[in-house]
Amino acid sequence: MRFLSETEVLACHELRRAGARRWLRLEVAGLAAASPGETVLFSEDRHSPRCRIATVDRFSGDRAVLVAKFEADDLAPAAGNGLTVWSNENPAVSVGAGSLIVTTSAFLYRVAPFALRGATVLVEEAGTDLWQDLRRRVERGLAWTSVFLALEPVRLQAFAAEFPDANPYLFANMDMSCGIGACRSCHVTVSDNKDGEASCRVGPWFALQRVNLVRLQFASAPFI
Amino acid sequence: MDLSVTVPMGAGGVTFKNPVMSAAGTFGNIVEYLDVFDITRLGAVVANSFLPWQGEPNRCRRFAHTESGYLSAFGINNMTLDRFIAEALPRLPAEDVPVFVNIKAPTRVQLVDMTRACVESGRIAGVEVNGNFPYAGRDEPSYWDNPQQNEEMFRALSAAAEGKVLLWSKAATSAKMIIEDFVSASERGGADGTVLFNAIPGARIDIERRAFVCGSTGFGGYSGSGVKPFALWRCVQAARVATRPVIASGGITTAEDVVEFIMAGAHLVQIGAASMSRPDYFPRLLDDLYALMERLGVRSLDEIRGCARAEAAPET
Repeated sequence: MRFLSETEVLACHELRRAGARRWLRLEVAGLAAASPGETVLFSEDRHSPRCRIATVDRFSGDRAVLVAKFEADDLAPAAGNGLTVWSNENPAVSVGAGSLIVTTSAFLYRVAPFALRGATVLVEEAGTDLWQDLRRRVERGLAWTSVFLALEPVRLQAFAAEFPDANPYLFANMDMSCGIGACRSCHVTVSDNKDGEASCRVGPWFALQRVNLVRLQFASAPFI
Repeated sequence: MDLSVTVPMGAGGVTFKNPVMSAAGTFGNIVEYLDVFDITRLGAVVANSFLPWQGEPNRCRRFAHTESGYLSAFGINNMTLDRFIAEALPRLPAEDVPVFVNIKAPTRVQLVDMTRACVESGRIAGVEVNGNFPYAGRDEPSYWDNPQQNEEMFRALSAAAEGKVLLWSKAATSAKMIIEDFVSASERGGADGTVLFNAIPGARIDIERRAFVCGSTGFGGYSGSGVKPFALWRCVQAARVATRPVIASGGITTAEDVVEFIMAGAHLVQIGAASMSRPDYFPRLLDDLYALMERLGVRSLDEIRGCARAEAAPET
């Protein structure tokens, strides 16, 4: 965890709404350094009930665009509000050139920025077969050094069946509260660490073969 | 200005450099915070609850924001006490900040064993015995619903503590015993203090999905600023009967809240829900607290502890 900056919200727009959840795009000024796709924690002053997790969508100068999920009763930051931003980027899992990200439109907001780092982002299109599309691309020469899946559990298992040697990482965008790995509300059960791992601290990417998918499925809204 | 608090233990005492503590269940195994802020600025730190066995988080949504706080259903998400002592405790600056642990077990024998393990560690300053657990195994009485049984349990735990660690009882807010009886029974048994509040049962429903939002049973523990008035009242009730320190908790968020609880009679305060609002919550709170004491002209907490009085017009 690394303190980044005290920032100011310039604008806040709703990107998408699903039931009680909203996905907001926050334009902020004053961010010291960040890179597209980076996961950051942010917290408003005093009235913020918890910190939230966001993805850096764009960064230029000291201006940045953050995309984050809000629950129905979360207050959306208003223009002029202050936000404190911390980085929780995990350098152990690097997404960039040579990476293939497979996703659906529901997850695109979190992974699209990785394209700016050189990753190939494959999005399932309506009415198409994702695996057929992927196989066709592979036949045409698509290759990857590492593959990242931002998909629902059933799709994760289907990918593993289709490409058994790929050793993919899965995306666990957990709801969380403390942002430090202490409260364990975003705990992910993994096979090689009996204490599990906190998505806020070391996520959002986890090696698929390490993760107990059944447990994850019922955890804190990891796949939305 | 001196914000230190000294509480008696055995023939001596333990000094806290200020009254602000973390709260069990919200501060992990403490080690998570070592690279976040200087934890030695706190009066004391409390690790998550420990059971005699390795825990596992609930298989459900474990957290949900709600009015003035949140619901949590983290589950029995601990490592064992033995592993904490062996792996985490050596990494903590226990010489510079008192380290407390919170223990739970279904039987008195297990609680006694855990207390002994804390004493033998030589680095744990205090043990909180958590009442938010169904201490009513098949062969065990419910120590939290019966004053006499509670007293007997603390007598056994006190003997195990040998005056070498502070022994605190932590009240279950939903227990059947009223807080005054709980404090008195624990003290008679030898508890060195009482932690007054724990999360209260709560629920939230997603009306679109027609489903409970949090917890495998639909319920969780509610914490947050919404409980503060009740917790403050409870603190006053407890402080009136207590002969040993009371440790307040429940909805404490700001420096002003800390001072309110001291004025209600608390020696120390524990902060949980609010501390999760941002990683630098505690250092900011301590800065605010020192500034507030300066503004109020208070040099020592002893000047204001329990000073709050009711005001009403005299009968005419």
